[in-house]
Amino acid sequence: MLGVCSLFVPASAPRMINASFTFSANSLIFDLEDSVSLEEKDSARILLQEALPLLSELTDTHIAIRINSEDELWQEDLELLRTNLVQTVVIPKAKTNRLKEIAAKLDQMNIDTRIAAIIEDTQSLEELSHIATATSRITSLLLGAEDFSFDLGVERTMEGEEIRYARMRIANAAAAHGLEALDTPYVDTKDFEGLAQEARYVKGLGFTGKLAISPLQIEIIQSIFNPTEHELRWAALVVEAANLPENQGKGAFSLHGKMVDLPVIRRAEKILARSAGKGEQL
Amino acid sequence: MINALNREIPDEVLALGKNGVFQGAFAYRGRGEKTAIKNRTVYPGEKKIVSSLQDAIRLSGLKSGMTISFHHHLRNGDYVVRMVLEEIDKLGIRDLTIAASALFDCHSFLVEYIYKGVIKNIQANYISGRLAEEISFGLMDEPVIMRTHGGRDRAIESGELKIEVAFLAAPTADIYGNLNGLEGPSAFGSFGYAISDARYANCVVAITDHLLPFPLSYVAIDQTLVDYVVQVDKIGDTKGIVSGTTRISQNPLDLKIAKLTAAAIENSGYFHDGFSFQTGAGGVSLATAMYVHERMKKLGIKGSFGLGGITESMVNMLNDGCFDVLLDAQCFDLTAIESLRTNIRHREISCYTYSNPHTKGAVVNLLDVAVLGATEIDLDFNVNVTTNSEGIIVGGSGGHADVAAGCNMAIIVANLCRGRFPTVVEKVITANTPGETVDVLVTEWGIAVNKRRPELAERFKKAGLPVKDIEHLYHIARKLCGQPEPIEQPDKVIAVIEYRDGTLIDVVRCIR
Amino acid sequence: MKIVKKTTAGTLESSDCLVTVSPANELIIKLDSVSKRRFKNHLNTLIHDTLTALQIDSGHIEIIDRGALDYCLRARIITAIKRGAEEC
Repeated sequence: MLGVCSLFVPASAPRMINASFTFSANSLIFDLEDSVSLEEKDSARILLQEALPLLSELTDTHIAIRINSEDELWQEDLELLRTNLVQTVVIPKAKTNRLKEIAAKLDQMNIDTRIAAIIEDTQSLEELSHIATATSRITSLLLGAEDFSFDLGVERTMEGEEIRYARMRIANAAAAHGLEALDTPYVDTKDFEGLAQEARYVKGLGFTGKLAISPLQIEIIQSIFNPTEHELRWAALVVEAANLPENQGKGAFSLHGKMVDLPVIRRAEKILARSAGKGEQL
Repeated sequence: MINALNREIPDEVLALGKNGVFQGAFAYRGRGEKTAIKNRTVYPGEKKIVSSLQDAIRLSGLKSGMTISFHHHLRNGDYVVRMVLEEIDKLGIRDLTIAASALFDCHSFLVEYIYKGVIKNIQANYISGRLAEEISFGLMDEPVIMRTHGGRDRAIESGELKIEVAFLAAPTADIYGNLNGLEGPSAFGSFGYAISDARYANCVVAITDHLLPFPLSYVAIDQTLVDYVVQVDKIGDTKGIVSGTTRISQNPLDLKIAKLTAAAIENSGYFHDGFSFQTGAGGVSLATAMYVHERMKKLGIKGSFGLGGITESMVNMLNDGCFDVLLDAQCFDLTAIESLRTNIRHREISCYTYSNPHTKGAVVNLLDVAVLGATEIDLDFNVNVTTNSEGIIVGGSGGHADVAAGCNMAIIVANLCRGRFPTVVEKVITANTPGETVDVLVTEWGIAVNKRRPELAERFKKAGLPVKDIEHLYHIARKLCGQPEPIEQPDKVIAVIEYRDGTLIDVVRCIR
Repeated sequence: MKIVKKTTAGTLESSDCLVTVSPANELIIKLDSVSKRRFKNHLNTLIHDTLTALQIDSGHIEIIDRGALDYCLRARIITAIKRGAEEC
């Protein structure tokens, strides 16, 4: 699981890789795609290959890589998974067929790695339910708004009307299939007010987290998407009460005057699970 | 001889430390001495204005082998040291000791004067640039004496550092020798580091580019201390003052350290009405000041004083009601200078009042929290601010050891590694500030608390801050950087480090 | 493996290193590193071990190091060799 905040780190710059060791994002997505030029793809792969053991030794953070979508390239990228240190592979411009292909390759490699799909064009959005069920390895749906709006043939705006539908569909599909939904990165890395506003808005739509492109965005994103102290206490109470012998086998029971049934218990369990997934340094 | 920090002080330099070797931050209990000086009488009708710098030097009685002094308020924009040395050289004077409070890259020309024999010895609290490098490679025959700011004032007052002629760059002077740093084209603000020189030097020569009729309306250094006044075209470039400071860092790692530091300060137990604070001028320090400012406003905390080394950040805090008063021994930027000039609640103090340990109480004794830097810190929390990881002199204590000794909580902020040089080491190359006076280390990998302050560690943990053992941070640095090899160092001692009480806390050896 | 053409890998950015390899009859290693004063032996060992693991025993290897950590030095050497060498 990528968690509530996933930070993109270009795999081309050792300085940035070094810095990523200490950021408290829930997961790090080392990028082999857009932030690495064609001539340097090999260089970035080898840099990651050598860096990942050190990274795993020093931090608990969930490690992911974004592979390329071009043929020849993505197959080479997947070789990195043989280090057994990559926990999620992030697929750009996700399509059902490609996901199945990749899942099959991972099966062949006998590797446990999970899959996250980036929805960043109209075709992917059309295929959304198939993508969500393409493989049991899929854990997360991510929105890539810049490429998506380009494909839709519209201007990308701060207000985001052009991606409202995409956002809602992704949030819905994710919830229906028990997946994470992470919203597109907020590109103005100095505008923290705007980031917070957008994060609150997409949380209201059902997104479980947001992608970050600057470490300075992590704290705000986590504070908005992490369960509050209040929510955590409530969730713990519910789960504890559900486990009491007198409440077992009942369809619903009463807790502090409120009705607690299965959906409520599930929601409480999700909240507790989410808070347990926060990235921690050793 | 081994001192209390287990540092070896070779026999041949023992004589340079008048109070013996370091025994502990507060171990030396000698009474501060006040040396008696002979006053020169200036009779009615006598004038102090001298037409040229060379004449002033002649009148001062300066001879070969004597000691001259300079302050460092113009920082890297100083022109006066060069002007004075040029004339001294022309007069054929040789083998001088230069006792400057600090020397910067703009003073690199001193290397040539050393080769020429004009300068034989250097005493300074901070040296950077090419001069520091050359000294590290063995330029001088005699070891350089490096003190703290407070320690230099102590040494001047006790007579250990006997200054024959003090050359004071003065932004404004009147014809009878009243001086201030607030007015004039080269205004630098506080005159703090020149006060003891003016009081105790045999002869005081003021060099100004802004000469006014008698009397000045604001006086930092009184006429009764000044022998001669010389007017020149320009004493320095004020742009060079701010070159020592940086902007608030935009680097996410630095900002993370700054945020953690501010959180530590907030949970230290000192963060309430009456809070007093000092921070440096580097990118992380300025960011920390910004976060502390935010929290003080949010929580409505009315602090008592800000201390420094004053920057725009501190001035903003004063104007925003965070402090009652700013106490200023040195201005780091033009905003600070302007504020000192115009705001009665921003006042200058002498370095003496600020940090001299052998007085009836320096201001550092009353300081709550200080944010300081380090090139290295070891497992005992001893701090190095003199040499870098290669053993080359890049600075010096300045006020570091004074502030750490006096304040309630000394926080060191640093990245865990610089390139692949670790900041947290087993033993620092040069010990400036003893671990017993250093309380907290904040790095991007977590916060370490000196075992002497368990209550601080408790408070930080309770607040959910990432508290780690310093050994743990050391091991992370080892994993990242590897184990550094010992520096190749011939035996020659090229500098002695004197603690604020005059004892010898460490030496610096020559680098190959 | 044998180096057959001149290639580079890496950059001169801080925390990185620039590795240039070219063909030569013997093994010549030239290291210019900001970390040299405290890590000379460590770096030399690392370079030799990395080349040995790639079975390189001849070639002109030049490294300009701007404070790279071990993993980065290894990665850049491996990349340069992979780009410029062939199985023999």
